[in-house]
Amino acid sequence: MTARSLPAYGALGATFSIAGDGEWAGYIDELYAACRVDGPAAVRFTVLEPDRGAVTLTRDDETLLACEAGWAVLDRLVWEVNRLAWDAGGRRVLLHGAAVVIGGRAVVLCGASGSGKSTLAAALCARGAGYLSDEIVAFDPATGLVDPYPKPISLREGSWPLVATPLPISGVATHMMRTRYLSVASAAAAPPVAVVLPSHDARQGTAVSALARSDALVALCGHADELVRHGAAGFRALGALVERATCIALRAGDIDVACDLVAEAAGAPPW
Amino acid sequence: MVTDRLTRGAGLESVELDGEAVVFEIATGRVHRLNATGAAIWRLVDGSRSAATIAASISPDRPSDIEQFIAELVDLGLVH
Repeated sequence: MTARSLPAYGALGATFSIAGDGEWAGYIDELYAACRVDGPAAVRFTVLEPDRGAVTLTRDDETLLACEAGWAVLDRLVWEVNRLAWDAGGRRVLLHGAAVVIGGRAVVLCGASGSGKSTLAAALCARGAGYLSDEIVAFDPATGLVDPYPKPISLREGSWPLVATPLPISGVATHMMRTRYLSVASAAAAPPVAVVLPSHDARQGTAVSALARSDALVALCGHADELVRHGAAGFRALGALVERATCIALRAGDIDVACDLVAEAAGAPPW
Repeated sequence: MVTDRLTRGAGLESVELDGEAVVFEIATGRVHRLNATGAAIWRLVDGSRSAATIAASISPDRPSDIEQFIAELVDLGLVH
């Protein structure tokens, strides 16, 4: 079976291609369609599944993973692309989180893994919000904008009933699969006007509370892995971000209500 | 009690937000949130005032509470 080359994709300035065989090629291209860029790719990933055996993921000439679990290979590929994005962030301050655009204004959703930020981002996009990123929020202090890195949104099992997620290819969809990926078109860079710290507890319903800007800044710093690299300037940039933003803590029990509350924080009408 | 004139620690950056403050340790990335009282202390730590002076300025009736707060800032390395 021969690997088929795919277009180049971008991740915060890094460029890469992903070649795959069989149904992998089209599937991966769909997932990263929002990241397509013109020009050559600096890094080449390849996913091969010869004769329904082990699936192999390589980066250039290096084998990264070879196993029978296609979902694990896909998870690893997404992780590797994220790592490219982290390394290419440059002057941007990178935060663990998601970001969407509502009415031309960016909303930053920051929280620990499992807090529901990806689910909330996907639900907001399904209601018409623009998509900037999931997992990595790239804030550029020079422009004051959140830049797009429209990777496929990672959705864990618990969110599948809440957000329509397409079934992956058969090589990925097994009972062991814990994450589905949702491709969403990219919005343009936008100025952040709201910082939302989500949590999820369906048993307790939805609740919103104002968040002190000092608490919001501490939270953002806690989700900025490489803030030390940016030094005082990066810290001041995050300070300026929260100073201009509406900051809320949101317990998203009911996803519809939660989406309306996020829209309100962005100064937009309910969906 | 700290009696010398207080200065801010080296390698710190701070931002004041709505009367509170957040202090960032540039070398480590550690952050400290100071409530309104802490932010008031922080504003007065400029190398010209002692802990007693700052405490008396912020809380003339209960300066010992402020001095205790200042001692905590000293322990954290935010103030010398």
